[in-house]
Amino acid sequence: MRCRKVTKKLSAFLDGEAGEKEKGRITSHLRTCHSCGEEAKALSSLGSLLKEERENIKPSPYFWNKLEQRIAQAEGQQKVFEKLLERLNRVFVPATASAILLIGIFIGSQLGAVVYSAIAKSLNPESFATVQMEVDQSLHLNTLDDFPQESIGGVYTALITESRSPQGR
Amino acid sequence: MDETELILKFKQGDKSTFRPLVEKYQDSVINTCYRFLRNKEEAEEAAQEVFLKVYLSLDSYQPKSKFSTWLFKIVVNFCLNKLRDKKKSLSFQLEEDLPSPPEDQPDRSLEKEELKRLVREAIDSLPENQRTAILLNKYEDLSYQDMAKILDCSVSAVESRLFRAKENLKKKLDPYIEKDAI
Repeated sequence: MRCRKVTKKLSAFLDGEAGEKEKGRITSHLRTCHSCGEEAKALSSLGSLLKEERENIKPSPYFWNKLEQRIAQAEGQQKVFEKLLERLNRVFVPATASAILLIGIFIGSQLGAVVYSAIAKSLNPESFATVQMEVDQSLHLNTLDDFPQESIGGVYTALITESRSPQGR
Repeated sequence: MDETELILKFKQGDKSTFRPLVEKYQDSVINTCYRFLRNKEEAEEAAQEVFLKVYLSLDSYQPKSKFSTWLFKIVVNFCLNKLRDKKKSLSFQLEEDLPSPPEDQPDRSLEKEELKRLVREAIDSLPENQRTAILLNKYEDLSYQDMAKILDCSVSAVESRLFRAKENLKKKLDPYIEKDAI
């Protein structure tokens, strides 16, 4: 095994993380190579130095009590949030469903009218006016038309229009 | 009751099993936080936050990996995020900032505290990923495989980080390393 490869694997070797085959090769190399041997000693010494200078602190005696309070607080906040979410769901979900249904009905009727008109026009242009009237009636758009002249509604509308005009006053 | 039983009982609703879990790991969690944050009060505060996070997400823990691996992943991520937020200069101290050793004979009779400080500064001057690898390997005695799971990388990446970290530390601490050890 070459020195360059051994040097790279020395750290894992000293940490006991090298595979069995690698361990064997590195061990035999270290027996014969002085510089790699020195490198291994330096790394080992570094490891010992790092461990010797390890600083350890003790937790405060109230660590668990403080944590317990934090947990109780967090759980309380979570319950409030869950209640709020539940209330919103009670209103939001049915409201959304209703809105989607209404929009769907509206789009469907508009789409149906357009498709029906297009088909009718393409088949028989002369009867397009009849088809258009049927579509208006199905959507009750004919309610926006003026009253026929002879009807009660037509007479009433005429009277109101007259009374409002400058000549009628 | 062993750790697995404690976690199982917790998932079944017995929250009192959380305390023995905390007592088992509080020392190592606090000390890991301390090695990252270098402040006792902050370390304890961070450990509290970590355990709170563990409590609130323990129901979703799956025993695909060891509990300690899962726990230390939370610890490391929390501490690194904390450091990034604070933008501490400890992580990126330049080599020149360390006191240079005397040219003739290295002074091996340094006070213990001074040597501790030098070691600490040397570790803190490493790039983030190398520092994390050294702290987990040398101070938490974690295997390369566990470290790979905690750091979300391969075992060879862990090996590479440790190799570079040790090369850097050897350069910085060369006068204080005994060459005839082993």
